[in-house]
Amino acid sequence: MAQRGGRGGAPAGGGPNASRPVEITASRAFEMSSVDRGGKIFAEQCASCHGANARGGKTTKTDVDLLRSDYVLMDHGGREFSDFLKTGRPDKNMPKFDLPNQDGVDVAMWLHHQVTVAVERQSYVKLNVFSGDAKAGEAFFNGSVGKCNTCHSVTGDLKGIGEKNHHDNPTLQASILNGGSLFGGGRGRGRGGAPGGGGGGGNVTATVTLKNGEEVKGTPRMITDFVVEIRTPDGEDKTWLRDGEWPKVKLTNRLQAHIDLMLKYTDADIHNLSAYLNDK
Amino acid sequence: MNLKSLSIAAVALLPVCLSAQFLDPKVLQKPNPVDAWPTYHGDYSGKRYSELTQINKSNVNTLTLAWQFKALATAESATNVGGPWKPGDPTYWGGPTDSYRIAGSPLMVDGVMYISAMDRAWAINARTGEQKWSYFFKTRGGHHNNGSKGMGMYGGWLFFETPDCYLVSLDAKTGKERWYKEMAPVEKDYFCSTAPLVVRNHIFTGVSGDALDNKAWLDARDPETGDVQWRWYTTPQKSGDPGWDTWPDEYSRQHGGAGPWQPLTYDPDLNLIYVTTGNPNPVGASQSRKGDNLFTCSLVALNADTGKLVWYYQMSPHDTHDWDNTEAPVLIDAQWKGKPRKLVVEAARNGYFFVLDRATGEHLLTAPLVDKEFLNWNTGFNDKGQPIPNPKKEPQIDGALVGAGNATNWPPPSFDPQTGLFYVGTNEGMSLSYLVDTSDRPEGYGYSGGFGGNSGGRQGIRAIDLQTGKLKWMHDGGGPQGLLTTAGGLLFGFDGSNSFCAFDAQTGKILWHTWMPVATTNGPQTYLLDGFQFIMVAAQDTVYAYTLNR
Repeated sequence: MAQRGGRGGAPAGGGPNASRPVEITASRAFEMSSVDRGGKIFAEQCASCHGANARGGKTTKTDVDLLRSDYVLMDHGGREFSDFLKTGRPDKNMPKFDLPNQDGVDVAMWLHHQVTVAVERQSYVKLNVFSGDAKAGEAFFNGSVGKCNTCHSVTGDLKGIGEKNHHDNPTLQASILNGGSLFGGGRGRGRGGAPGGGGGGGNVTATVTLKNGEEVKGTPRMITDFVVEIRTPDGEDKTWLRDGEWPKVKLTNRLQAHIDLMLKYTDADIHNLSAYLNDK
Repeated sequence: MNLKSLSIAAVALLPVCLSAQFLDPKVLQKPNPVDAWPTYHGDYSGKRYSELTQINKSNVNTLTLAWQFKALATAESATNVGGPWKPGDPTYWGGPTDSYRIAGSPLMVDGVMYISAMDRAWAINARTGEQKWSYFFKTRGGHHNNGSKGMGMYGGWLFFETPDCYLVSLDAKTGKERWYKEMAPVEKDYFCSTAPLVVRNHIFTGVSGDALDNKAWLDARDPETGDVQWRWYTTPQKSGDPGWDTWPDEYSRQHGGAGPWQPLTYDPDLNLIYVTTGNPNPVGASQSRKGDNLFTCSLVALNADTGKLVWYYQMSPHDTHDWDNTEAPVLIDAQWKGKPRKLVVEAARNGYFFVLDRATGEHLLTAPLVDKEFLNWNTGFNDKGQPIPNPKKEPQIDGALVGAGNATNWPPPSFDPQTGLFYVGTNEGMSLSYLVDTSDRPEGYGYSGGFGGNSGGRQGIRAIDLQTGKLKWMHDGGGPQGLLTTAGGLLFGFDGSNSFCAFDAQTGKILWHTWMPVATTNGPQTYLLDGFQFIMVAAQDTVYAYTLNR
């Protein structure tokens, strides 16, 4: 039997005496050879009624979404589903299928896998569609709102930016928004590197002013109501307990222009910039 | 049967055990019972405000740790073990984990604290933190990241929901399992986390699920047997039901989501429960569910005894951003434009602050919850104050830049009637949202969101004027989190870095703080025992209790 995975199939790597249960709905638990066989059988025998993606819908012969059907979701490792195929649903005009038992199990595994693919959103692939107008992107790049050319040049630091981002629109757009890297350092407080924190991945500089007027600069590590900690350029960590507003801290983010643009961009601006930069 | 006779009937059914570890039903009816914390919010109102004044602005700087309790339980170490999983069984859509956090609000009744976290429960001495019993539920799977929001208590019986969607009842005195009931099949990716609410002889429980486009419901259950008394589906089930025509077809109604996965509030005078619902499904790819999609992302008032819909208000019509409207519906009695009024207030995840009349659902106020320049997802408001979603800000194949980005979330806010301020932890941000599933019948999430950069948005605790929705003060740092106010003029919350703090509720000035090893994970609580006021909060698997230094 090939059903390592699928809801209720034999647990992958487990058994009656396994100390911990196996989560069989995770895609890693599937036996892909069974899934692949099931996919081929489905395409040959089932897709003509249920659609190639098994979801049914208005353009298919039957409007049954198999990926949301209890016959699939409540099946355990192909057992119930392969039995079901042997009888079909004559009342709903679904014929029976005289398939070898393993074929029924394989079809069930393919359906279970399709269910899992829709669940695991971290594996979703964004479409690579450049919809913007490169000319308009160039105008924004050099214009009074974007002012990108104040810091950047498409023949200088941005040369090859399309290639670096694999000519993938979502990747390139993320790079445009982020200034080429992830950065923190907003108005919030917190530990360095935390969202809204003072770390800023090296893009944020903290200027600490002591009561005696002395100024110390460095990378913020922790800026809270009670503690100020920075790392100076020579690698030394300096920490002060805070008494009210002292010591005072001013944060400067070298990517501030990118932060400011976040509230100015239209969607078209981002799409146009991406189209413009893609072949640079 | 009228309300009074129902109450008598409910009391008559209670187990005969009027000694310790028994919740007198009268305590549940009290607003703000200071010597108990008998429900998720401390009382039915959801205000999370205590009349206790022993700890106050003048002495809070002497608050000190009284005890701490590290909540540990495994199948081997727990004093009680139960649940349906047997050796050799697989798990579905998740599995057991040794990493858990106390996200819910423990109950405190008769000097005993009842704690739950995911598949585990404990009873401890609320004076000392000493464990009385522990319970471990052998899970069949389910999403464990949402955890358990806590327990409900009826007489000497406890109730909590597990991630694999079982309702478990324990004997409060011993921690022995009375029974467990399947609420929804974990095979279909249902998961459960809300704290059951007990109203007379009803246990209210809710189910949720996201990725398999399940339909969802709220149940009233019998405390003795766990059987369903009535069920309310969060999407219309038959022609003529309210909201029927806000969906294009039967398929979309039956797969529309809207799980009621957070605790309810209740008005005993109106006998209404206030239910909040989650996002519609498919989550971000909405081409198969044109329309407002009632009752997703809504606040709904139901008759507690029948489940009959009395009124509804949809905070996010046709949501496409996964902004569950499951933030606490807080019940406030206050003057409104010169007249006393029964209000329900919600700071919503979509970035707006709503005030409604809780008897009728009449809309009274919609105001920005966060800085309004981040609220780019709606084109305006209709005549009922509902945001009108901008279709161009739905997920797009080439990306749409959307704010305010999870402006708040389920951790409970607080309202202080002394200051008239509503306190809530908030976020601001902008991110690109992509449509991934372009088929006629998308499934699951169908979109990919959260691809943003730093927008300079603020995270922190906001104090909002109830009457206007305007910001009175803000503490930078903290984000969405559970909060507590007291008549001592104090607001308790987390500063976003390392400190659990007491703020002056009027001004936001920090009056006391204590270092925490990790961020707090539930809403602070308070109670009085033997004349001593305790402040309690949890961080991951540990509960901390504070009293004045003595």
